[in-house]
Amino acid sequence: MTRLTLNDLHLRHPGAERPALDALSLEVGNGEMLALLGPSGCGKTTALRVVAGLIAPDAGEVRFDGVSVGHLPPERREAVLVFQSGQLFAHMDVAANVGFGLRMQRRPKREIARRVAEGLEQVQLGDLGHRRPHELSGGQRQRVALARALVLKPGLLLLDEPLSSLDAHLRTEMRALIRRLQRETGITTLVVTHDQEEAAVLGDRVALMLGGRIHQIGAGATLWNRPADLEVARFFGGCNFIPGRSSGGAFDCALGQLALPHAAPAGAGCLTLRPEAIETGEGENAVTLRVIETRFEGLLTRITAEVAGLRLEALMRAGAARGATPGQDIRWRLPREALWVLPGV
Amino acid sequence: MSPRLRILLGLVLIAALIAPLLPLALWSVARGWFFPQILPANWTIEPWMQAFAPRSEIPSALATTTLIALAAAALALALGIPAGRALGLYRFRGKALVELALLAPVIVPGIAVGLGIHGVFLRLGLTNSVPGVVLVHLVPTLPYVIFVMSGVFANYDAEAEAQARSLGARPLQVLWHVMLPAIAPGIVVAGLFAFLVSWSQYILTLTIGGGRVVTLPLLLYAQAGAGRNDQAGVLAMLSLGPGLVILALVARQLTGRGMAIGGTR
Repeated sequence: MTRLTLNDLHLRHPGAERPALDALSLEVGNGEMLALLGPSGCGKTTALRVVAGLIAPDAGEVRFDGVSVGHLPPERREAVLVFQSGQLFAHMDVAANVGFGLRMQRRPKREIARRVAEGLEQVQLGDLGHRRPHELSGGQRQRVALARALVLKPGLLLLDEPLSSLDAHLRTEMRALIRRLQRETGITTLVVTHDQEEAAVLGDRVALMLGGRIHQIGAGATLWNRPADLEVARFFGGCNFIPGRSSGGAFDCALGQLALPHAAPAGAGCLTLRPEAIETGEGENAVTLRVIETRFEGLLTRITAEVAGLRLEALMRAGAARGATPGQDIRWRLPREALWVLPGV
Repeated sequence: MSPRLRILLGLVLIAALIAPLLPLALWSVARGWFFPQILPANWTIEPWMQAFAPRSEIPSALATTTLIALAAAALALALGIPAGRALGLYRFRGKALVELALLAPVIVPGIAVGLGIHGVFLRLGLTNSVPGVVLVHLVPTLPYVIFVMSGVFANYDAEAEAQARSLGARPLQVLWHVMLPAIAPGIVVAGLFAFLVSWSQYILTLTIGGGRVVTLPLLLYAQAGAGRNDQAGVLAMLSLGPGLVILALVARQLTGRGMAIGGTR
């Protein structure tokens, strides 16, 4: 098992306006599963390829267990990258695909056969060894790709959007499988995804990458509820930003004085709270707003309301949303624990 | 189109392709075949006996032609696969110009190319020799190989190679275990085409070989020119052989495993 360190990586693709990696630093602990989350084009796949050795960074260092691997070609790195598309070799059957890496190492035939069988068993495809890749479903292909990486017992597993090509119900299943296999094998894993939910479920920690660098790293809930800056809040669907000043556990703004949770940053800044955290009714931090618009979004209804030129959006379930009619006043409670201050915005 | 019409059209097409060859086939087994007769009066295998008699030039020409065609096809593949890969996989400045230049020999008359190259080869001492003829056969064969291979590589996913590297394959292992199997059907098609194009070369063989390198097409023209219809018939049948075999092979490649061409997806 390997500890991965990325140290101040810089990379600009030829002809690109903005750098793909911009002073990217990151540490993935031994046996940890870290989810690298970000919108498409934020450089997360590039980062993964740099770790795998498929692209060389312009500057910076990749270290496995503290040792720089910058000079090693991909085949000599302890890391195995599983591509988004699975990348099964079409001219080989499933067993040959899974055994590919072992064959490249010139392992004895018997050992290869045994480990391939184990690997297929691990991903519950024990009886499909003779199938061709085009005879498999998308989920099976992805599992074969996973088995092909795991039979090598790599020190570091790199997964590039492993679930993006799957249907919703397969995704849940595959997510659980990846989680279970990672726990069982203890292989340090870096998984790249653009899906917040996926990142939260898969990662022990989540690193949010925007514009080529890490903006915030921590537990999924922390990023969600305690964003470090405006971009992080926006990425997670934050839409309520109230300018004001935080001092002594309270926030002064156009809505009046709101009580803040413990350890909220002090000073001038922006108050943020997630739209689904807003509740109707009286209590601490209750404010009156005028409803402007309600929009049905399936499970939830999005209600836009205004007071003193300030707009707030709330996502509420049908029951709570029923009282909201455009043009009428409404009482909303902004729960203290759901509030957070983005300092200096 | 109704199935019956389609079959009819197919038969017409086959007849149109085979009809010109029939007289040649008949000439090679006829003794005395004069104008009003629809079929030869007498049948004989004499022309074939003559063709393979000890003093005949045909067996050695057959060997030379085969050798040259094999060498030219191999060389064209060795050069054309990397070129096709570059053209099929990458976009670069001046790519259209490079493509045009590579395909130019197909458009420019062979005699012009041959005479130009003759001057160069003369200085290099490559004229009147088999190696010289093999090299000059690259002029018509290489464009075909590059054309086929760039098409194959356009459908080839080079990410498979990155995946193989990450799984621990060294560059040569990637070449052997990932790239070659994926493009193998294309190599077969391109190689067979190159073989055929070289096999039926006349002008370039004559200009560079200077009559010293004797191949089947040279003999065929000579015999046809000399009015030896029986020998011309035999030579035509011999020249036809590889074409038919290759057609059969390629047809299987193209239809039976239609997916094979076009790679790994």
